Amino acid sequence: MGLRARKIHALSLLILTAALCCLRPGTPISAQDISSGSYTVLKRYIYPRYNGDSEIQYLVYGATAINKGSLIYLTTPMIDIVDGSYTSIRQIDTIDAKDPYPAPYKLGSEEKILRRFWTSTHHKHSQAWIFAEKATFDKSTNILTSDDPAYFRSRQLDADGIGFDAFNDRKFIHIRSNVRVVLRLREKALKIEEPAPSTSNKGDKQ
Amino acid sequence: MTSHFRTFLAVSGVLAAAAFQPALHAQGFGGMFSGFSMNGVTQEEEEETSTVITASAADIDLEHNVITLIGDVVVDDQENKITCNKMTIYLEEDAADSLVGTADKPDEKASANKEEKPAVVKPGEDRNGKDAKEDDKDDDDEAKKNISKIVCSGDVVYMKRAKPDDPNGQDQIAMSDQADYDARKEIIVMTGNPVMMQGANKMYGDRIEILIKDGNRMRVINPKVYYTGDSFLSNNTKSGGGR
Repeated sequence: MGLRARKIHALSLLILTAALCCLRPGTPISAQDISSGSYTVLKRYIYPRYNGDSEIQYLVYGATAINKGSLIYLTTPMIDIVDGSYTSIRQIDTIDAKDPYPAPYKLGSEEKILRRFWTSTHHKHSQAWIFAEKATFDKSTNILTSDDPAYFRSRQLDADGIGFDAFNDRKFIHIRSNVRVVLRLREKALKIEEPAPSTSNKGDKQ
Repeated sequence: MTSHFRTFLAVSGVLAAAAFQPALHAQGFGGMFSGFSMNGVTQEEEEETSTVITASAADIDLEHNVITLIGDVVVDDQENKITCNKMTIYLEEDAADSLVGTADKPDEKASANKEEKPAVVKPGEDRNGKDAKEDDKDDDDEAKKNISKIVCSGDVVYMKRAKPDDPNGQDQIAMSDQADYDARKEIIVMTGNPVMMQGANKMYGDRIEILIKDGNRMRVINPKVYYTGDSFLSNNTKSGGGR
């Protein structure tokens, strides 16, 4: 009885210790087994992608990421397409997981909003950002796809649309439908987009 | 036996908590992303401030700095409207200021030091350890990417609307196979069977130029035929057209 009781106690303590390890607060990863296979749920997902010269090409963010094989199903995904030859993620001020994720500014926002976004430390290194509500990232091809509304933001133009395919290695984005674009031309050239000079207060719009 | 029962209860409790861990995580961090709201934008709000170009689809090639809008491309504002099948926008490095500056480039020295430094960001500094104000200064000296050229192709129609305060005014319409907008010269050149129309009048020529900095004035280069209603006249003058 004594030996058996000790074995049961030891087994119970082992299970207890294992369970407590899983319960550590703030653990951003958890795993579950399901009958069809296994998957991993990741919170606050950040995936930096480097090119052959060890320069960061882009960062993929996700509020949550469910990893099944080579596919990652992301919620509130964001792609930060990096401009320049950054070789370490520590050179980039990535989105702090403690703060709310940045929202894309509205299409056609006024200049001060654009400046605030693009001069933010989170965006100063960026060439462009893509925001969506859901997306699937294929790690084997580095293609991110989504059927949901997509929001592309860059310094020269912004675009909204429905559905996109981002071929990240080529920095190529295809927006599938319902595309709406706002261009930012040089100040004088804006006349092609703006009402003609004869209209009063026209210049005030920009 | 009682001790066994207590141990069993404790283990069961912990396991039950562990089983619900994903749910606990989801609740605990769910609010973290609440700021990511994209549904509050209305189309009316957008169009109040900017001219929006619409298209069926778009290809954005950041590596080659080319953006292509495909299918039913429409640029519409109060005074002008352009439609075409395809619009290609070219970006280039330019020393002129862009509206929102350019991306920060990493400093090699800073990045070399960076590897040795802990990833602590002081207030007012970025991750390269540089003062944020210095960075802003650097931005002004760097080359900027700007739109250099826009090419519209396939059934291009440019319409300059008549002024609302002009009762006799008529819309001016120019059609061609292709239109090239040069951002530096601020001119649109329409080529490929160009024709300009105003009411019943038509004018053909080698090309049509739209001078942006001259109030979108349209002129036909080497006009060949004037067509007015049922009659038409040949003309060999080198240029024609008007406001």
